[in-house]
Amino acid sequence: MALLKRVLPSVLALVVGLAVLGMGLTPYSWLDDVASYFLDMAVIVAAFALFLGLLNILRTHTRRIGQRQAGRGYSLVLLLAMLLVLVVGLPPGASQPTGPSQSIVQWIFETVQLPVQASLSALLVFFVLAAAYRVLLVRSVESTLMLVVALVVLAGQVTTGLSPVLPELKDWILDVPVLAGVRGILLGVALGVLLTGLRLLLGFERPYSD
Amino acid sequence: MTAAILLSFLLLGSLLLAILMLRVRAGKAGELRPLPGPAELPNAVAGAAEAGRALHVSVGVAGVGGAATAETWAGLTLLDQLADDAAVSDAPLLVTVADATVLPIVQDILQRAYARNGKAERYDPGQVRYIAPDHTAYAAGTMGLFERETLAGNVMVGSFGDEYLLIGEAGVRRGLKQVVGTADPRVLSLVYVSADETLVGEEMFAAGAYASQKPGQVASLLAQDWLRWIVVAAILVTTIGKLVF
Repeated sequence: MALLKRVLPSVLALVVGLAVLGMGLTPYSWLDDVASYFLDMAVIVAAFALFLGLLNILRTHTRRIGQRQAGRGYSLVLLLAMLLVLVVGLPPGASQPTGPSQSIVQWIFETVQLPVQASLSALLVFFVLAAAYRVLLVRSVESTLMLVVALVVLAGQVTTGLSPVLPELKDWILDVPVLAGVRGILLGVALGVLLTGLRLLLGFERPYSD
Repeated sequence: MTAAILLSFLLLGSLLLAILMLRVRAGKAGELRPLPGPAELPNAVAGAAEAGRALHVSVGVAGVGGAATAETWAGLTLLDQLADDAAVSDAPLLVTVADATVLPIVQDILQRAYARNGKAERYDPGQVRYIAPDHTAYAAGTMGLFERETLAGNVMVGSFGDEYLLIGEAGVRRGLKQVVGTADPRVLSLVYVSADETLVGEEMFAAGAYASQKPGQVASLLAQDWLRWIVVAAILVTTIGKLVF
């Protein structure tokens, strides 16, 4: 039984992994069908995971309210908002739009969630400035180099049409050292992704069993 | 042509992985070269155990099944080891997730780590928190968590976007020791200015191997090095060939 528990998940992972991999690498259409079936199953499992997420939020915030922890008011607002969106997202009748397609749900998203998200994203400017100032205080070789390059690139951007030197220097920085560095990082990441996939596919790593 | 190149890499990678696995198991693989980022990770858990405060861990905003699965998996591999260390040293872990597909995996990793170390009763499902699927909302929720909870440190390894800086800066304001790794070069610049230790690109895939020293992961890291040298040699040969002919 223990052997089955250990071997079966590995075999299943190998078969499913090879089928999905084969979809992109071979011209056989039947393999496409098999792989599409597995991918559809993954989508269904992911939908169940979303339900687990909902339960996790309920559990975390009801516990905080129950234990009278700090910030429990926010938890209450969160739970009420979640309940409200769930209820108004229910279909009002047969052949009516449901969930995110409903006009009231769309209205909530457009008038509440999107402006709040946009405001939060706008704060990134100040966060970048604060972080850059901190880098200035560190005074290491790397930090100084980073700041000098950032200033040259910024100056090159704003002096376009005024002076030919800085825009050309900016273009050279972006096209040669920056691009080379980015390609080096991406090459390493691609190899890391490949090996992580192979490790899982070949059963060198079995996250589904001890 | 692309499929043929990918297939060659897959076959070569598999072969290298198998050979190096045998060498690692035989103890002939040698030492891993020191990397400052992964070396800091055991200290993060030890610091949390000493202070009796939770260590926050994030495996990124992506899930499993999408384009960034491997990055998420790098975070999960690292979490597996951190959870083991935390279970041994009784350091509390607080894991936040942004994608529901990761939630049951993270819960399983923590539960099994406590069970492996004979402390199954110490696992608390509240240690894993699903914040929000939207990236900005996740950042906002995690920032709030940093304000409310008394944390000892912050480890974030996985896929992140610009919203990382919101969390990173919240960590800086709270004076947390931060170890962060991600693959996107655009986000790495934001990580560099806010984290104490940065795992640049492939280093995030190496972190799990450094932390756990498991043969499969060490062999994978060595195979990655070998493949890189092969790619570098191919680039050099092609460049010289183009210049000469």
